[in-house]
Amino acid sequence: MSDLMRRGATAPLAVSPLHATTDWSELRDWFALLKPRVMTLVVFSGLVGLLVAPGHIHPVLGAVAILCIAVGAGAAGCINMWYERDIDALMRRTARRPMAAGRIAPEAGLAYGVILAGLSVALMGLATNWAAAGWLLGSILFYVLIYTVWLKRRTPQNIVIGGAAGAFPPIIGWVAVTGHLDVLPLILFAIVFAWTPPHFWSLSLWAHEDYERAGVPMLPVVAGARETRRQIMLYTVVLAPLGLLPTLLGLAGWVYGVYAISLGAGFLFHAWRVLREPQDATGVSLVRDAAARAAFRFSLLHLAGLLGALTLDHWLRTTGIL
Amino acid sequence: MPQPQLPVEAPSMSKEEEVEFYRRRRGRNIGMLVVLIALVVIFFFITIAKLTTPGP
Repeated sequence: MSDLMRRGATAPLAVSPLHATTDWSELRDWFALLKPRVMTLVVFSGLVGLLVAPGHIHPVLGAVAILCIAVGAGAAGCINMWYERDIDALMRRTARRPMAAGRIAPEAGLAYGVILAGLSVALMGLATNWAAAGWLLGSILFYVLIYTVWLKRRTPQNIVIGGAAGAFPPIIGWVAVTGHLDVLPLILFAIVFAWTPPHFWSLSLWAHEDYERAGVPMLPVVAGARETRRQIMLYTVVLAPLGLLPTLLGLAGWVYGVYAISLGAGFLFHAWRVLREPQDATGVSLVRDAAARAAFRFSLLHLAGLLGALTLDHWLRTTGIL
Repeated sequence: MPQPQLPVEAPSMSKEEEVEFYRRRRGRNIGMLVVLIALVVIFFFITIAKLTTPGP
């Protein structure tokens, strides 16, 4: 037993806390629990929903709304990591996550996620309106209960339905400004919803060994690479016209329309390359999944470009330039 | 004859572990301080924004 332990609070400290240097690694772990890379897209799509909504929101309240969307998404990601720490430890991509690696105690991680989720919803309600707070709470519950707990380990359709969780931010941003739902945020929801499967399945085509080891029924694991390539093509065929819908319905102008056509055609081209890539009889790539990797990268550009173009189009029309 | 109860020892920390313990706790405390200050600032600015924005 050390001297410190034996003599309790009266013991002179062997190391003064005042002179201890600071270890930031634990803070980095707490931040990593919020899945900051996923947060980037969530923040961006939420911001677009907020910017293209009719009406006005005080810039401070708008910034707080975006912060709440980010923290809410991070909290959901944290609870997801708590629930999945067993399979995370089996996958190369996720084995170093704080709870999977044992650097942060599971109960502390869960408490952190739940507290942040509650805080983000309450702050959203106080700063904007309770409808937006309700949508934020719904998105957190959807991601945790529907995707993480119910679907992920049970069905290869996990990404399809679970993708809805990532599609909520434009709705939340919009409702934070207007207080109610409308057609355009629903279309944005549909776009992100249809975009998620080809985006994730492109990734899972070359990362399926990890999922296989962890027993997660991703489409390439359950139905094979050939079927996954076919499904990527099918969802991209649905996604391309969905992207054009705001212009077709008169909710966005021709600037957005040009971007939507170009980006939709680009994604279709990449999906076609994934489908036609040199492969063996089971659909496994003979060229190290080059087409799937390119499609994954393009999918990120596609969604960011589409949302950015919608904001640009909105700005050009509201300022009277177009 | 009842056996004498052995005292249960608390887990010990070596000097290196103590150093590590204080370094980690210091980082955690600074993080918590930053979060609390951020919350105070956020609530202050929300209040000001709400007061200066005309209601519905």
